[in-house]
Amino acid sequence: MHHAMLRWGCALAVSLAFGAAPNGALAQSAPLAFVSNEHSGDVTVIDLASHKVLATIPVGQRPRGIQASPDGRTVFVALSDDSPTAASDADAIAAIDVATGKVIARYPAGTDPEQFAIHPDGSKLYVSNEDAGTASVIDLRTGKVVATLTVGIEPEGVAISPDGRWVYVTAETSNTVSVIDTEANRVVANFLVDVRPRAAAFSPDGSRAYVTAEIGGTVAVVDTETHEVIETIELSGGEAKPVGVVVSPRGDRVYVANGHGNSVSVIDAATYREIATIPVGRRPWGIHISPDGSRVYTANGISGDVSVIDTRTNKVVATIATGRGSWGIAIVANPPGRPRAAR
Amino acid sequence: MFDGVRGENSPGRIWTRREVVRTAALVGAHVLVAGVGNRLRAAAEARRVGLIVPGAGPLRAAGEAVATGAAFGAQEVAYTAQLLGHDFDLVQREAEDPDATRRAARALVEEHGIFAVAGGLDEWTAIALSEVADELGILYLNVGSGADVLRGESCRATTFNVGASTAMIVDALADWFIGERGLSTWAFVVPDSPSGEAIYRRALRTLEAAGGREVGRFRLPENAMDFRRTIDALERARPAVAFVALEGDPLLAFLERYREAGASFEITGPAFDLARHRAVGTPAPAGTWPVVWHHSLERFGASQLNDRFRDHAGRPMDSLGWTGWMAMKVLWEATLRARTTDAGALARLLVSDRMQFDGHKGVRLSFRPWDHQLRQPLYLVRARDADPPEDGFEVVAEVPRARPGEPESSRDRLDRLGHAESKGGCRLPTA
Repeated sequence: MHHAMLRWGCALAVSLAFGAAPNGALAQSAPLAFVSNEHSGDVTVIDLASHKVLATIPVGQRPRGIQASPDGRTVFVALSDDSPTAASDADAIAAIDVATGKVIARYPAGTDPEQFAIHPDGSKLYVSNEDAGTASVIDLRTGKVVATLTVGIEPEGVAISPDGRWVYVTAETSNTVSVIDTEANRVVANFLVDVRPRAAAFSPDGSRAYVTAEIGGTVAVVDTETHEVIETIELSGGEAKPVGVVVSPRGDRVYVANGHGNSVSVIDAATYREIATIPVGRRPWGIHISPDGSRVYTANGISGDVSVIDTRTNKVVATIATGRGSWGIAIVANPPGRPRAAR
Repeated sequence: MFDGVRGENSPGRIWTRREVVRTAALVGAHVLVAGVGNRLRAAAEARRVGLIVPGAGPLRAAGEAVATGAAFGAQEVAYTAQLLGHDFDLVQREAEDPDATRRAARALVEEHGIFAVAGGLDEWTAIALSEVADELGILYLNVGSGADVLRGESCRATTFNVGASTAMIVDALADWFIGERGLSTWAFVVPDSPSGEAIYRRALRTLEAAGGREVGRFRLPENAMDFRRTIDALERARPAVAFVALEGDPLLAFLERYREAGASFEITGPAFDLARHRAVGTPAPAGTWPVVWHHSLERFGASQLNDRFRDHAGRPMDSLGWTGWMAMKVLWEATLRARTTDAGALARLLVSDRMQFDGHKGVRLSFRPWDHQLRQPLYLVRARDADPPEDGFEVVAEVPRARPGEPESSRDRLDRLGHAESKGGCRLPTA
């Protein structure tokens, strides 16, 4: 992946130190989880084999959405200031070099960036600007915002289809999903979902998308060919508070983080039925799954930790302390420098 | 109609310059097609609703608060409507008495083809709107009257109540003062009127059901303004809580006297109007009062809503502002999901399990089928002298409180406020 490297001339642009691990250690530990901590302004790096915290990387104000680049070399994290309605230098997407654990770049991302998705070819970011009702498209090669698109009120969740053609942006107040055609760089459709949509995720084959509705207590199943809701799955009798969502690598399970419900719901993607509810830490929002599908991880904002779920037993097998206000989680399966097993 | 629209250079504004131009073009298109003979058809396509509030008199400030919230709500709804290929308009009229209110409602239907009307800041104009809406075959959303009769013997199939009822408020106060704080000896100060008597009876029933007891009762002329003797008598009665059911200027005068006297009992009641308090600049707020919204709420998108409203109105969102905003949201989402503006179809949808709303209170809001009351949590706000918050009040509780060890659905929890199905006196025809 090629992307522009934007260097700050100021002496204090972004802090570069990272925790206790010696320089370069991240490159030799893998797989890795990167957890954004909204209130402590940093990212916790966890070795997923040992569950040890390797580093804590200060990144800037209010880190929330976090994603790994397709090549695993970079982790991007959305930063924003305390003035959501005014753009400032604090609003940005920071890039962390996985090998060194250093913040190496910042990209302008519109006002109040919260969530974003990365194009599978690594060339663009699609960012929700929560308080502006827009989504920004950033060209990572030039570092510039190339489009600002009108979406619903209070946009948050952003997901991109596996083929990179469609981006879904959820809007909490409008109860809508906006569909961005990435070839045309414009919104081509908007459709209604249940009350207070928070996040979306595509199935690995791209045929389906799943959209959580926090107040509706449901997950909408979307046919991505027609961009229409074909099923609405009620979780815990509608009492769940679904926020984050991730689909298993085989596409057979959908895992939903139920924020203020302090649990994870497991959905059978063939029958669209909830088959398990797993108690986790307090206020799980971000959720991710290991590349082999054996483990699900939740970032728990009030308890400040990560819950590790064994997907065979649907039980929590570990809890890892992170930072204050843990928000999102990204996984790098093969960090650069890690010896790969012979095939 | 699109009050508060700004261009793309205004920080954080949801409207861009392109959106303003597009919206203006759509509005213009409606004006072009809506000749006299086509107004109703165009209005039906545009999903147009009306708002009737007083523009003068003692409820002027309350009317302005509701109107600001409704205009803000209509703006947000119109934005979302355009995303989905629809339009939504709000038309406002002013009226201060029931007869003028009825005339205004008829004019809005005849001239603008509204499919629903919101308004009613006192019991009499609310009943008038309920009646005329039923006559005209449109929906009515009560946004300002807590009168239990509108949820009881005067209920109608096309009337829906967005703000809290007196019964809900009384239950909320009992939950907090008695259930949480153990303050179970109450004295009542009520206006000497049929509505005052009704409030007293409901409050007394709630007090006794919660294990409390009455230690004094004071019936005062509705226009009373001198409360020195009443305060002195209350002190002698030694209640833990004085439930004061006065309204408007009499209530503000009572609070002033209460502060001057340094009274030992706590004070609460159903009708503290933060809008009027703000309008008259009451220097020394006092007491603990029930509200449906407060500008300090943060969770579940509340802080974002509060920020957007403040950006629109230049002041914090209060209960009446939220109620006006919520009314627009209810009307839009109902007609969108029902795919019709027919009042009967909308009414059936609003009481069905399919229809629920997000009011940024962290729980699904829905209408009870037996009295058409919007289920919702309430908040208790208390005056704070030290480092006073912006309006002088801070949130001290959300009610009804969860009961640890007693799992119940969110719907069942909210139904602890207000009349149970068998108790309210509303007899609506079954669908």
